[in-house]
Amino acid sequence: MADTAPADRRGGFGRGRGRGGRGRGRGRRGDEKTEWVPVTKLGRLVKAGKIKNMEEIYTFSLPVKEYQIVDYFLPSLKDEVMKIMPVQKQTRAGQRTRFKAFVVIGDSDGHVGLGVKCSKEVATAIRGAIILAKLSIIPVRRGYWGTALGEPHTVPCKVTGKCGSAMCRLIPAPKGTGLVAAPTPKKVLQLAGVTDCYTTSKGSTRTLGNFVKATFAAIGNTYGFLTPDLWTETEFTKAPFQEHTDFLAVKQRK
Amino acid sequence: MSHSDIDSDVSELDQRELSEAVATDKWAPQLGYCEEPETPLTADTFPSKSGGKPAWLNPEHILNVEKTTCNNCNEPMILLLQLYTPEDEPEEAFHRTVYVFCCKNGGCHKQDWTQCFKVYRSQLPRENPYYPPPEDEEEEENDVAIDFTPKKFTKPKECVICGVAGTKACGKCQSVYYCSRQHQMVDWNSCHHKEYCNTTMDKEQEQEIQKLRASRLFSEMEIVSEPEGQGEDGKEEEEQREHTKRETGENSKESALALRGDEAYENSEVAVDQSFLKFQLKIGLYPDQVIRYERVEYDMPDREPLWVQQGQKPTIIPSCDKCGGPRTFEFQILSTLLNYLDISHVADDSLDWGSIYIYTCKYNCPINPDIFVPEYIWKQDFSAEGMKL
Repeated sequence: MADTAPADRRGGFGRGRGRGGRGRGRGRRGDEKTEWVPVTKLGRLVKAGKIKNMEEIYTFSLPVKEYQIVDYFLPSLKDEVMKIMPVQKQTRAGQRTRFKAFVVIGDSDGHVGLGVKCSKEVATAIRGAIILAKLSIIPVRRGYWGTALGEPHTVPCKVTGKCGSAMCRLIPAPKGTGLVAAPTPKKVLQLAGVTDCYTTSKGSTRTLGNFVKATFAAIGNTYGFLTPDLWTETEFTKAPFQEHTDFLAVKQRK
Repeated sequence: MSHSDIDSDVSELDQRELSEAVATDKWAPQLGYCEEPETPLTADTFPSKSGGKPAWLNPEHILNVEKTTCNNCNEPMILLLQLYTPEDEPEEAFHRTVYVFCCKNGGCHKQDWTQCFKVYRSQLPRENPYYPPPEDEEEEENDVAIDFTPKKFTKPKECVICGVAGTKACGKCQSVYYCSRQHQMVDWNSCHHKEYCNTTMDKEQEQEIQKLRASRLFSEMEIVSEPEGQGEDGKEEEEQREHTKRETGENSKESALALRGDEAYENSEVAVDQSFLKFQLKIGLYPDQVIRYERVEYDMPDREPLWVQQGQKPTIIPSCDKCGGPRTFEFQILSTLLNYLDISHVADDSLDWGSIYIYTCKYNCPINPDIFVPEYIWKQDFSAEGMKL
């Protein structure tokens, strides 16, 4: 029934039979399916190439609503499914089981994201969690344990993050130490691009959701910590779309 | 404003289930896409188009600039789009067009967007003095000559910039018409009328002037339509659905595992804009759509539009000015249209919206003696929330 009614009315708005505009042109196959048409203003600016990298988006705290923006700047993201957890809800007809997926995504070079999604099927939950992880990507600040020689390899200072009762503390480590951590934060730190780190954890770390969120919060705090080398005054630059027109000036003149 | 994800039923965010739901939707909306026009979009072809000058349905009486002036900045508005939406009933709405005008100044929209949009409905019956009645398919074999002579009238002058009634003429040459002083200034200064006033121009110069004038408006594209879920891709999607069903058919049945004690107390809420995600997934099936037209059948229930955020919804829709009857949702314009308007997005106050919703008289009341009847418009922006963990 669904295919007979609209089949004879290809093209044209409105309910008049057989009249109104034309249908879509044929021969639009190929790339058109996968091409991203931006919906938000930030998306349009990114697609037009007006924004150079993710760091500009972070500097001005612009909310990212389309995950394609992240894909555009960070094409080489790796995702890691931390856990699939079945959750149940009691209904009159028995139990309704759904699956909660925890996905950590990162490029091993300063960007991590965490996504949590619940769905009736595992594959859907994972796909949804990957999208949410992309939307939540944050930058990771790395520093040195001792001499500033070579590339930064560890966290810049002792940072801590807490979620629920799980607490995770990251401590700078000398080069070559590797990641001294439980498997869960170890994966997150690997994807973040931290090479060496000591960790301490407290609380119920068995609750994986909370533990991952705690490490994520700790990593996020690396850019929130005021270290002495940031003491110089910041010169504020204009946000990507801050070029004002003379609109207001004209209004005054009238 | 955070929405807990623990117990909400998020099955509607599944892409596969969404496309299934769309294919079995009896009243799937018509989606509009922007394409390059194949033939010139003149009024007798009853076009649906975005940008450019309006193609007036009623060629004798056209809109005056007072009806298309932004109440904020007092500049004349330009045509955003017009949709030709013919109806079978009532009789007077055989030909029907909805015009949407908007102010070009993005800053105006940021101040008070309710003053920056105007929507007008215009209709003509089948028997009208301007267009011959279209042939019925049964009468094609009779080869009856259609006895129709269009009414003779003086074509009203149109403003050379924006296309509404050109009530003022250039003082010097008296041969170019404008709707307002602002457009006269624009033509004088930016479109070289200063140099060419009262002179004859050759073809190249004329074309250059046409281009300059057209650049003051949104770029003209034709809006073509296709029912959602019935596109050329529809068949391919169905095959894909069958394929995935076969592949993952039995994997989704997991044995019910008892909940471990610890996990019951997990705090794994994620604050995310649920309505935007739903919107994005729905759009993602056909990403380049610009219009969603919901009035596809008679006697269908009133449908809710596809919202882009939870807040900023209209509280009461005012009744029709003419007949006092209810107004219902007709179609919505998505922000993807902004990609086709050829405007700069870099400025802080460039034109931007989440989605624009048009509500029109449910029964298409007769509009005589007016030619244009104003209708109601609502705009939603995207919420400024990002992801919060």
